Amino acid sequence: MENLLEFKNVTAGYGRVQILHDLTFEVKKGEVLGVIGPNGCGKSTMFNALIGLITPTQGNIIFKDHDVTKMSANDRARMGIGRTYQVPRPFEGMTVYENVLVAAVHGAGMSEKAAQPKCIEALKLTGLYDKREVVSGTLTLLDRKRLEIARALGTQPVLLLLDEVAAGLTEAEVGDVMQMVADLKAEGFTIIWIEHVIETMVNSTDHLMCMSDGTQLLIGDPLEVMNSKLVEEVYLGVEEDE
Amino acid sequence: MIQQIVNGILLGGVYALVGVGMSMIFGIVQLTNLAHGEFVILSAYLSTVLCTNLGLHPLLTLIITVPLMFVIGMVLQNLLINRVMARGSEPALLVTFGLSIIIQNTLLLLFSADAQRMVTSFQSLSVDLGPIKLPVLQLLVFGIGLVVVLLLDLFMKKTYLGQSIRATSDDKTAATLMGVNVKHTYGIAMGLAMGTAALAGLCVGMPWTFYPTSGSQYLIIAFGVVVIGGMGSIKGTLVAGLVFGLAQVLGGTNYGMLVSYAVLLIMLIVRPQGLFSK
Amino acid sequence: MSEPILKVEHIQAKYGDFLAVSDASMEVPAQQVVSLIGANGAGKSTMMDCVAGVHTPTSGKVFFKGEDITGLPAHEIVTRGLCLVPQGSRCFVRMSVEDNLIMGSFPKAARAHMKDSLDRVYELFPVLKEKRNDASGSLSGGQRQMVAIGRALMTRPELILFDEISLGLAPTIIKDIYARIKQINQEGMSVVLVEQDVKRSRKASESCFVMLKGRVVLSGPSQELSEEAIKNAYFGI
Repeated sequence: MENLLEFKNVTAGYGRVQILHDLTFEVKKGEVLGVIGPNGCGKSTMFNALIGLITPTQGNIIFKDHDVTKMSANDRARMGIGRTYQVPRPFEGMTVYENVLVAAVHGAGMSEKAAQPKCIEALKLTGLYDKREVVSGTLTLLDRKRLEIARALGTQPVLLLLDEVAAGLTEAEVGDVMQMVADLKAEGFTIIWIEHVIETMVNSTDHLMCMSDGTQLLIGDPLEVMNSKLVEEVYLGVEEDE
Repeated sequence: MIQQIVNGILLGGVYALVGVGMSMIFGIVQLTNLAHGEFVILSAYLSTVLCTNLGLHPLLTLIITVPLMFVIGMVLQNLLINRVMARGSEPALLVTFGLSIIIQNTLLLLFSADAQRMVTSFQSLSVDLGPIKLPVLQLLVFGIGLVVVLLLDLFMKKTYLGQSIRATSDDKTAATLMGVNVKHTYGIAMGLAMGTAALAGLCVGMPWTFYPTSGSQYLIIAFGVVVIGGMGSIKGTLVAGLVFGLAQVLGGTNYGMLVSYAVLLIMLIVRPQGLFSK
Repeated sequence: MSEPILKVEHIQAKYGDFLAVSDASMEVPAQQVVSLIGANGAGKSTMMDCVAGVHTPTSGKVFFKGEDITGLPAHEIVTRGLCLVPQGSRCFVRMSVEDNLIMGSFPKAARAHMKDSLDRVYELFPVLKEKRNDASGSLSGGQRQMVAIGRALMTRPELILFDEISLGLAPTIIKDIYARIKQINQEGMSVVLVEQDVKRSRKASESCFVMLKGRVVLSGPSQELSEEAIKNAYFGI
């Protein structure tokens, strides 16, 4: 299968503080890549570099065979990179449907008419279709997270970035999220999913990347990654000599 | 020229006093108190009433107005503003705006729109120092402003209560972990701010005429002082008061306020965090 | 064994409808060091916030020295002898090191002992004495943690909670701070260490609680729990 996305030795950060160092990985079309790593390892910075909020000082980001390293965030969104945020912030006074419509019209630059069927599709995929007329400020956390994904889908992405969608949910709700991701994968979306809930990573991803100190520590089969000594040391600490 | 600089400095002391209460509330409670100007004018009326009805000397009215305003501040914060602040800072801002309208209209109702002024025995006295003339009244209000601001600064640094107020403005949660009751601290801070408003009321009410609507004029001065000084910095307030006063006097009668606000705008562009910001 | 100094019974805690702790219980025997470990987002900090009164649990109980302190405000809990050293030190950055420490003796009962407590903190962390007039905002990360620990000690607690004290610090500094914590414990104080680093906290503690997704999923004496068991509990796989 061909690569949809490649990070080639990407070094990036904020101002003079470099967070990512030589980060290299690839994502194949249609796969789900899980990303784990301790706090501060650069997961969110990787997303920011990917969507174009920060520009790498070194290295290249290749998306759909184009070098997008220096491309603006807007242009990348139009090329099909859609992201969700850790803390969902819908327009609370608008209905669920209106929220997705705004994302489609402003994010993907579609006319309202062209956007409508796409929005319906996004709502169906995320299980929000029956709640499309609900004012989003009244939604539960799970539904707000669904809406966050639906809004990202409204921008017509090829690559969907999920940022801790399982955080703060009950176990049953986490199950719903895993099902939703499986449905999205079946629809052909390529997904990168940052998550602390390891269990979801092991069960729902094709490959798992563990990051540490701004670079990839290990990428591979989820279970193999979780059972590796390297990952264990990053999380559980290194045996110190007295 | 020297006379003008002296006048500007004397004026600055009063401006610092007008601004310091607002600056405290900005820095500690993180609230823009839009009623601060009205609190100053309310105090000026209080002092006037005490002067004319009880025959008190203007300076002696402070014995009543300062504690009274302190208590009103505490009660207001505890009963009203703390509750509203739980719902975010915008509602609290609107409450202070509402308060300013209520005070303004109450004063209009009670005292009509006529100009008021406190008359003092030393109104026209002045100290001659060769080329410079120091009006006693201006000197007095400058002195009050200076002493109050310095005492407040000392209080903040040398007492447990003052330290707890500073700690709260630095990190609310960490302060509660040290046993500080944040709501109570806010009450004290508002009380202190209102106490300075009482002093400011006297200090603006003696040299200048005032009306029920004068509050907005002093609110804007307080704003300027807060912005130039850096929100929440007490010493910064003093310097900012002087800068603002000097700018106004040097700008002359016609362009005084214009120059002051030009300075304010330049400050906002060059150093938006203020001279002495956190 | 005597009555535990801290007992947390089935607490649940939320931020809005974000479920941070779903059902967590733990006990801290008096004068022991207990570690609470778990990955990011497992709910450790929220649990500590609930114990210290910074956050109010939606259900469940917290007992300190046998008394129900559930839902009491933080400023009251500290006067009873329980102090939290919050994550990221949270010094009063515009205040000097010494003023930070003096703030710790704000609780009425602690004020009378201010001078003694200050001497003791300076003895424990001599570098703070050197820098006592510096603004705490100008200190290094490790020194800030020392200020935060010192400030907590000034409140004269019987139980002290350390929330991720080693986060972002260099290994040598962590080692030094852990040695001080051991010293504090040997002087009779009960300690809870919240940590992501399993190996370090396991070594430093007598008993161990592992959290996963808002629950305590494993607990026992630190030396008796196998690394494999901790690892499985930690990752939930």
